[in-house]
Amino acid sequence: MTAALSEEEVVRPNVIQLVGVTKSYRNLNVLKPVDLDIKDGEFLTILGPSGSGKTTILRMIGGFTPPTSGRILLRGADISQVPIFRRPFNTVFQDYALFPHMTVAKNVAYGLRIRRRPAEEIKTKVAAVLETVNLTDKAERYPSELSGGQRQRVALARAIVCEPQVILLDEPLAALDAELRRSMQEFLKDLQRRIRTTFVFITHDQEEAISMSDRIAVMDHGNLIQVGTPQEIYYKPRTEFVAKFFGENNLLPAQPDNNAANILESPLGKHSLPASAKGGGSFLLAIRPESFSIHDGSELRQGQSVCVGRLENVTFLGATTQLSLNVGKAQQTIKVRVPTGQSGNNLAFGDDVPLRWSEADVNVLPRG
Amino acid sequence: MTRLERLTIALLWVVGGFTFMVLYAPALIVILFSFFAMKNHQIDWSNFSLEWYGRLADNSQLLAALYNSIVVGICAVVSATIISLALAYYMKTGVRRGRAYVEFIIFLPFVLPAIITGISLLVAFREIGLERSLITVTIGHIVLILAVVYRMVTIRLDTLENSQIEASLDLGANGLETFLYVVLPQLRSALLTSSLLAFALSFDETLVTFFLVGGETTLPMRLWAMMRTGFTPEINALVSVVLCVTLLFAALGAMSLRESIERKP
Repeated sequence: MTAALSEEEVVRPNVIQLVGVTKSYRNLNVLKPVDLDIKDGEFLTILGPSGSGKTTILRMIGGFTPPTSGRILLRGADISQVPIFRRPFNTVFQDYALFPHMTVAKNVAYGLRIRRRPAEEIKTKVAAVLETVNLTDKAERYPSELSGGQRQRVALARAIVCEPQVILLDEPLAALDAELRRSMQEFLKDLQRRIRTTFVFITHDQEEAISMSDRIAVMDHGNLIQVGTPQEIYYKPRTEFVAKFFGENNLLPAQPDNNAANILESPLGKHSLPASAKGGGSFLLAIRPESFSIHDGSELRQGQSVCVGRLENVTFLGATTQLSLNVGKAQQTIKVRVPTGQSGNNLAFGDDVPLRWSEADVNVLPRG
Repeated sequence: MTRLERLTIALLWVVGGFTFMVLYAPALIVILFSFFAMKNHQIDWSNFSLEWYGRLADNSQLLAALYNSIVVGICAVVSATIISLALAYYMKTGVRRGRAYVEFIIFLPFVLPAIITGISLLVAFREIGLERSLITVTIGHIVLILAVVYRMVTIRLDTLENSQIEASLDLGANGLETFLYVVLPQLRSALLTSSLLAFALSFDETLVTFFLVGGETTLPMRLWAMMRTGFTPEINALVSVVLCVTLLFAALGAMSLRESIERKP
């Protein structure tokens, strides 16, 4: 499965490339040099807390904000100087930006009318797109007469009807309530698969990013920190920020062993220092709670390790149960999530619980 | 409804009715006067006639002044609207330095005593050798009503989200198309209302006009002159006509304003 995906990635050409793109306002560097390749037909999410520069990237691709330096390439051609209205992208704005003086049908038809398409073609395309977003019966309504979710779909229809090469979505779900959000997430993902257009989606919601994206680009403080599939971002974080940003994670301090330079010591035991994590000083280990399991005494496989933790707390979460255990000399608390049936009912507080994990699930991160 | 509430409402009606009477009774009296003959400063109720209207139609001096006022008003409103639109849209689309100063200068003639504006313009026109005429009057009126028109256009324009302009550009429209199809339609009622108000201001402007008027005069100046030589009843007829037309425009303006409020999301 993973192999098939990466093969596909190799075949997919880049539709947009950001090369050393930066943005500063006066002396404030909003965006440090960013290199990002956006592949044809993918659902790429740019994820980050507010002020991380994610919207700035989107606005630079769309042409609303000129980059301070660097180049933006569309299939290899530099479009940094191309004005907004000549770029083959369409944007779904956070506040939808529907034209209040036009009906839904007129809003959707706007891009085609500007392009002087024949009236017959406009009519067919608008009808087809409204069908796609389930708004056929609202065609003659005004935006003020629609609900938030419906306006959202009009904005989407208006963007896709022009058949852009890339659709840019600026936190389009932020204004919707939780339930509507979830159904719109599925709808968006499904729509993207059907129309096979590249989506660049901005959000600050980690779960949204993980459930919808082919790839995620994580941003923080104007830096592009890591780009990868949701699985890579979740299980193979490269920095402390990414490791903390997504769901529950155990972050444990680790020091190089005094005797062997390539061995790290942590509350869990000893680990070999991967070649990628160079430099002296201390490190952090990131390991997901669900990467642990309770050791049943069976033979360890290659690359597996065992340690013992003292049970401090048990939290029943439904399908899984979360155990809090103290490990190592420093009595570091770690969280372990196991299927509820597996935890056994006979665990008591203060018990020593043997834990098993795979070294491959441990990520060594630079500290800081 | 309690007795107190009923009493309060009744009282409000009385106060409101009295206010309206004070405001509109003089106008009603003028309208009444325009239909009846006068005898020794008393209305002759027995003699309903349209005589004054007929005389008005023959009073070429008065009609010429009315015509001048309308022409000056329309020219001033159209010019002020175009200037305001261009300037307000320029200020809207981008961070413009000195916006506050430019707006201060635009508003200044509106708050300055009209005499100062009038004299300043007079001196300026003389310096550049521009003869006093309806053209100088029109320029004076533009200076005055620009404040009102610009204010009303910017207020409406400020409520227009920038993202709408961006969305239009994003969908392939250039700056002009965006202005024509997205911005202007949404300014329609604001422009209509400001035009009506500005026309009304121009129509009865006397102070600044006084300094700038040449051989041809406007209606308020003509009336002013007639007041000194003696009041003729056809003025009543004229005032009645103007009042009715004004009411009609006011009603139109109110209707368009309501329509635009209802349309807004």
